[in-house]
Amino acid sequence: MATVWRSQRAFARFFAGKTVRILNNASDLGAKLTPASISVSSTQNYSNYAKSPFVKRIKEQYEFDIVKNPPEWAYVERLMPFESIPNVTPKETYPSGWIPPKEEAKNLPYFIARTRNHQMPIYLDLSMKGTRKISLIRRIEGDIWLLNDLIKEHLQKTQKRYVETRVHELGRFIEVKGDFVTTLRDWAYAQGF
Amino acid sequence: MTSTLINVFKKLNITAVTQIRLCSSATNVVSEHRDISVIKKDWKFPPQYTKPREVWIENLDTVKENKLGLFELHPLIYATVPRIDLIHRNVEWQKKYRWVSWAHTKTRAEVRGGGRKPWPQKGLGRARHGSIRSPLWRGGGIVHGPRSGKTHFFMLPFHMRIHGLTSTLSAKFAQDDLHVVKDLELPTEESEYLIDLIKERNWGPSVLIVDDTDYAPRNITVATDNLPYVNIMPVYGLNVYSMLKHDTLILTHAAAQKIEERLLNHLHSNTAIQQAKFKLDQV
Amino acid sequence: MELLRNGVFRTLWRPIVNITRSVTYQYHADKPRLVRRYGYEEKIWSGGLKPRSEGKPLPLPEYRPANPWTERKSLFGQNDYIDILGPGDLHPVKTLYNVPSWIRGVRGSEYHILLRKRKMWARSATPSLRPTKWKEYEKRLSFLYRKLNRKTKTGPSPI
Repeated sequence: MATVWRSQRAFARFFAGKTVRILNNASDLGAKLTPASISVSSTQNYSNYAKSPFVKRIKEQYEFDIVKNPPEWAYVERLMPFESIPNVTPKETYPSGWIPPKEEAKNLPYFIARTRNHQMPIYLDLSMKGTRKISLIRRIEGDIWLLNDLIKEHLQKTQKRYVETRVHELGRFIEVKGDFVTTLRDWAYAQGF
Repeated sequence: MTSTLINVFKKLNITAVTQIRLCSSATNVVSEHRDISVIKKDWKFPPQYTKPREVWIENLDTVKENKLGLFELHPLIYATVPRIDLIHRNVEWQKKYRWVSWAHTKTRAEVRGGGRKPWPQKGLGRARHGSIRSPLWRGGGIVHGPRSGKTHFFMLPFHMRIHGLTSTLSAKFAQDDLHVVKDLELPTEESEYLIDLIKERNWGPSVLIVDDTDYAPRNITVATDNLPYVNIMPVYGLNVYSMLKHDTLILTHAAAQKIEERLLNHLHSNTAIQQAKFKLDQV
Repeated sequence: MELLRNGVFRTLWRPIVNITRSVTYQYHADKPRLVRRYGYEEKIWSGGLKPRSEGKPLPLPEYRPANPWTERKSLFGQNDYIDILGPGDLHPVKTLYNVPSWIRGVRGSEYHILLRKRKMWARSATPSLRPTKWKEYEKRLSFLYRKLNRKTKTGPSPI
């Protein structure tokens, strides 16, 4: 800490234009302050704090000039993180297996909006140490009760049994009792959401 | 507050059908009669299913209302389902996170005196006591009393706060309590003009004006200076509590766009940093 | 004779009539009643409502409704969403100018808050300017430390 302070004081003196006095002080202490003397001196005992030389400003190593909007900036921009999640570029096929939403799904009286990451908002909710499984369909817009009826009908057909659901109209989500995430996801993809 | 929210639901039930396909024929009729242009917006994140809401752009330079044009509002911000529970949690958070209780009582160690045994332990026929500042004594210390500097601080999760903003904006809009004006230029700097204007347009007893810039025009600042129930805020000052405290919310055209842009950006970007647990040394 | 016999019999024979009393022993019935707090005058009025003069209102405090539109109240909550609606580099906790800096955005028990207070005030002039206060902080901290670490039962471990 003391060294830092000492060096700062030396800097302050340096910028105040009192370099000569520092040198005088230094010569009083018996040290000649040239860059050579700072680097290596076999005769000087630097373990003594009082005898150590003052810190001098190092010459700027790199010469630079400031340019605005250089052409190379495009390459820097490429490395910067996205400000927001980018839109999907349409392709023929997606190697990850991701399925894009279809345009005609917007004409249905109900709608399941994709999440910000363009994923289908259908999740499995495990609770009671994994014994209670609830499939959750979120971000529903439009007629949620019609969607609920269709889901029930579809699950009745595929599972060959009655499946309990719960509609939260205000929260815009439907809970289905049981793990039907894959079935529901496939159904939603088939609808075009 | 509750009555206003109940009103929202009544209105929502009415508009539930039109919400899906909102092709307002009324606007077409108007645009035939007057020369009013609907400003179609080119959003960075266009609405997916629910149609954008249209709102009149009003003026402030005459007491009588003039409709200057139509303006589209993004349904994700201005037409979401108003979650009352989230609005309530936001208001509770706003009250609590700044609340420090300064109530203070002294313990028996802090009350002055009481170091000496008041009377001998035995031989007097009196109860045994060791200090006159014991909690049993009048003027003694307080046990389990309030200690100064009790905070009630917590941070509401980031998206819950965003949802609180959108819910409140949607509730205000559904209740016809949200108006968009072109700018805040008034012809005079007299308060009477503003009082007349609020009365004429039925803007309720209190008005919150939100502008895009930090500095509102001089006339409106002078006019609202003596009206404590008319307040001006910049966009970044907008909050759920103030929106509920004031009856009418007046947004300038630029402010409405800026709120929309900021919130939409948060809804469509990676907010892991903002969602991270609040740490004291992060601020 | 008959009359005399009857009269003598009547005077001699007295049927035992039990006068029902709740007290079992005569001693208790006859002993003088103990007056508690003899000589003490009850200072609290227990004779019901006090009389009042006609026409004069009861001394209720004058109703003064609070002004809900003071500057502090009308702008309450401003900038609470500054990290969402603002440029994003300012946290709302930083705008809590009314709250002292050592407690701004802090959550914890009395011990936590006092520890933080002592840590932040130790380098200020408080210990020398308010030595009694400082001593009380230290005293309270040591008390709370003992209470929490040596005298408080901990709950069951999570797993």
